[in-house]
Amino acid sequence: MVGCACGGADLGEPRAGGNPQTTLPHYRFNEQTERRAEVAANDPSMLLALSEWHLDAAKVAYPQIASALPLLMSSWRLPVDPDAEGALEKDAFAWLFARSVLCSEDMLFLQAVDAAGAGAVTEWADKSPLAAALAPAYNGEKVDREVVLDQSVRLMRQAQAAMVVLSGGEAGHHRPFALFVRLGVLRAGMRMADKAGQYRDAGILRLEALERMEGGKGSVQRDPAFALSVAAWDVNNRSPLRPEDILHNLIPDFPALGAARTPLEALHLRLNRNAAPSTPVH
Amino acid sequence: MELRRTFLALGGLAMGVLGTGATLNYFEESLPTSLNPLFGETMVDSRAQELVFDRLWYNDAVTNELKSRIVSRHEVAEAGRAIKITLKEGITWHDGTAMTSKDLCFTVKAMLDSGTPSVVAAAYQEFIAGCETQGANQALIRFRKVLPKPRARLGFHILPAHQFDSTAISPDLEFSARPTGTGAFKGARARREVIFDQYSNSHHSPSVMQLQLREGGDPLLQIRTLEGGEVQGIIVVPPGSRADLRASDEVTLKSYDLRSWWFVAVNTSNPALQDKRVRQALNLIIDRTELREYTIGVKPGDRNSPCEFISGPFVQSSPYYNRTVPTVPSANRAKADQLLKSAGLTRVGGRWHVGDQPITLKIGMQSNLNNEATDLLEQVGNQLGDAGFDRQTSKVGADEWSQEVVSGQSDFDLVIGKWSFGLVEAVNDLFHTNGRKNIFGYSDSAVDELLNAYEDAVTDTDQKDAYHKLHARLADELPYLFLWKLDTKSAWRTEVRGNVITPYFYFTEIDSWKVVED
Amino acid sequence: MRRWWVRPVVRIGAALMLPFMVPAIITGLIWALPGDPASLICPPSQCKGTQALAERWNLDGGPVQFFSGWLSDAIVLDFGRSWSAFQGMDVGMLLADAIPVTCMLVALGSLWTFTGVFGAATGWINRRLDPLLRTSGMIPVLILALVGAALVDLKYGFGSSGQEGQLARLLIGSAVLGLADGAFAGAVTGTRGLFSRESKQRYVGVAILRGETELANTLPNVTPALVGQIRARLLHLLSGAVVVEVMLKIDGLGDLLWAGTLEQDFGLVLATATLFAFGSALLLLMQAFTEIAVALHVRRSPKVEAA
Repeated sequence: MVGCACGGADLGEPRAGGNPQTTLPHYRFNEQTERRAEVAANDPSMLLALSEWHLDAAKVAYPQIASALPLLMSSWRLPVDPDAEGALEKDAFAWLFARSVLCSEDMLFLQAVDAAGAGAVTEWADKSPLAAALAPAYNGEKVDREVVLDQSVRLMRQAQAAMVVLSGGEAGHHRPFALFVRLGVLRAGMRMADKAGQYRDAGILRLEALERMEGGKGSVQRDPAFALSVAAWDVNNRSPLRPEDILHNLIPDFPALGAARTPLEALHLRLNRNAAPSTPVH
Repeated sequence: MELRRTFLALGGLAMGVLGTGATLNYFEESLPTSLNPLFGETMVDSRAQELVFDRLWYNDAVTNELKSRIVSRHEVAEAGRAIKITLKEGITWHDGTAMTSKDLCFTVKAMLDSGTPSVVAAAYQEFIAGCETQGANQALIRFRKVLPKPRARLGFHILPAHQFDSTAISPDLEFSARPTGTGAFKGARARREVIFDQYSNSHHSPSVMQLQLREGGDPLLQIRTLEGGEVQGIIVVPPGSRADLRASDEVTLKSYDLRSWWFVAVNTSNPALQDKRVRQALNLIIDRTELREYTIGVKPGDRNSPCEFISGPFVQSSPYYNRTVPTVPSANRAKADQLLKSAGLTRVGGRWHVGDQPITLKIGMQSNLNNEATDLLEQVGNQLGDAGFDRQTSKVGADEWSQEVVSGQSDFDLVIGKWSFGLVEAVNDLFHTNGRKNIFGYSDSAVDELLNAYEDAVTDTDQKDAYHKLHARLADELPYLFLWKLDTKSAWRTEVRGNVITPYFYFTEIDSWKVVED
Repeated sequence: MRRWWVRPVVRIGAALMLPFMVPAIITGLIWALPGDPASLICPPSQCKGTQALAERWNLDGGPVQFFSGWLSDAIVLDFGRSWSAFQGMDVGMLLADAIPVTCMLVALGSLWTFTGVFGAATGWINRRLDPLLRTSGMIPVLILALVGAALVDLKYGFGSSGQEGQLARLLIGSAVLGLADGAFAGAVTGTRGLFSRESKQRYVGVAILRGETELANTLPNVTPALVGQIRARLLHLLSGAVVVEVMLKIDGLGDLLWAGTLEQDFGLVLATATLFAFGSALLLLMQAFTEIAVALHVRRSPKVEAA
């Protein structure tokens, strides 16, 4: 439990339905120029503390989830966090609703990829549906991104067909939920490619997943955390336009994300000054 | 090395021969005005030129890494006032002639030549001083000032020296219709289409044999043709058609990262529109919510809408956007009437008059915008008509837009258009008194001061602050009525694989595109 | 009439002057318009090189200099390159591709005209059909052309600019040209009117009594007027071809003229307008020579054997 007094600031007791006591930006200071313009900045370690606060608040809200939490949160674990183990109890399956993993074995497979590399797909191909879909894309050394793309469509269609059989006919909700399956394959393939050192291929899969996620107005596949991870990846590539758009679209629903605006804007401005000349085009 | 390059070229050629042999047909917003990179001024031109020419440096579409297909080595020289470039060997022009440093320096000299009437080159003239060859494949480009990261600024296309008689390049040369480049495709303009034929080189190995570009025309027809498989792609999909395409298993919608915003430019030389209260009134007459609903199909309250209102010359996600300046989503006729009366206009028989003359507004709109916002021109005209202004509306073709409207030689009172930007959202050319794209010659000393402050800014904060103040000023002065930003989406059939779309330039990664029949 | 040759000579004179007068007048007109093509391509506020471009395009010395320069090149069939409408493309090549298309369009359209003339002259098209023809002829060419364009686009889609699509456009365009705006109806009723007025002449009655046919007697007298009518109708088709080509996206001269006019592409406009003037001149010559032939035929004294 984190009754956080981080960096000298007390975030308050984590509680369900509340927000940590903090103000953003964390720091304001003046430039060492004649104009002494004010610059705002945020502290990343404070942001980490804030995320821990929210995690603790979630545990307060529903203590029964504590045992399943490590596995459910495995997608977002930090490198220093221990590996999750075991499987989900049946009564925790509901937590997989509207996520791009199909069962707990998928989460364990992804964890194995993080730990051991893309080769984990061979070991998990008979246990995890995502691994089974991705096995043909891996030749022992490299991940074939085109096969990943194709398999994502195939599995999606398979899922859709299965839904039709189970429902006794086509229904309007089949497609949106089948899209989760497609996203699952893409994101898992992306992680495999990352681990295999295929930065660019992973990037293509990442962007494809982002694209498929944006299903238009009110799309259920929208995963803010994944979108933000893509934004962060873009920032790592010193490309600020897409992250700005992602952030801008998420901030109305998640105001705390406003914290990321400041450094992102600073990056954009800095890149602007060294970019090729450009005039508006019609 | 020579042998390796030869094998690569042969390999590329073999791949091309053994490739799918597929032709990609696609609809564009309009035909390009010129395939010569010195003279194109529309996004259509940029995209077409990207197929035919190589830029000295470009950003990878996925990782944003600065790369070059034609430069093997570079070295900053003369304490940052020059860059020494070594070109790759074995690269040929589409006519088989080898590319050398002479071509690079020729391109630079052509851009600097006062006899080359190029708006594109004018931007490079500001910081490039000259170029000298230092061997068959080496050249030194000199700058007017120290540039800390010169490669990022050298994104121009290379031209073949042997195709021109002098560095004063005219737009009406055959080169504008049948250019010779080092790009993946050789382009040739016909009356109704542009054909791009594959050309395998040591640095390009496209899988697609041919691309055919046609003007899109009616959006419904474009969609039906795409779904029917006669065409494989549409560069700009109208918002109203996106839902259908998204639900299709045969077509994929792809984002085309382009910062675009729409506007109604106001002719401040018109006596009736000189008073800013009149422009403010027009701003309050235009009901953006209604316009968006009727022309783009976005209803009030729709979430994740591709169309978001703006109150100034930037998109809302931009660091330059001043969030303290509110948008005007709906009309306020009472306040508009008040402003018009205070500006000295009188209402006679329901029509606004200046003195004893009724005001008739000539409104133009870039015609291809109608595909994205159907009947926008008519809707704007209707709103102004309801508010008491007579009007005449007309659509303006792409060429006329480039040549007359943007250059300030039209006689419209209001023009509806769209500006697109890449990473650099510099708007100085739009609003500065001497701006190259100042449509109606708008002039305001305070705005000029802010724009100069942006240019002269030493820190990023100063730059941002200048543009924030500009935003506030322009939202008050209203040389433009700022409408909205609209996301751009392309649609490609699922047989087209590996189609990575580069932000702004689109076809930079065309080598990886291929057509695979399921 | 002794001075029967005056009219044909005037027509021949006009025909010879037209191809020079039309581009000269157009040059004067476009010079009167505000702006100039060099400033459009390279506005002085936006780029340097406007003056160099104006010099290259011979725009810096006034309309007379421009026209004489253009004319001296045009005489050797050098029409330069398109400045803006089809930037960089050779105007001569554009014309060479467009001429057969427009000729085919007008020729196919004129089939309707000649059918109407023939049908009316021979009585094959019944007089009772005249009200129907007049009604159908009220449809403007613009409307019919729009309908035709929609049909082609819907049927052929992306391929509508290909060979099959272009052929469809041509056939539909010729039907539009030949039928709309009273083209066919006018040919029928005009010809019928001409012949019926001539039939009322006394000599025709006498000829019929002698056992000769009406057509054989009236035709020589009616021919000059008939040729004049046909010339007018063909000119109507020629001018209508501009609208039809633009609406139906047919790659002919009219479409070139339209595109060039919109974008102040002087070279393209002058070249296409001159070709239209040539067409008109040819029709004038056709009429003049027909008049001469008829006049000579009418004045030919038949040989009479001495009793």
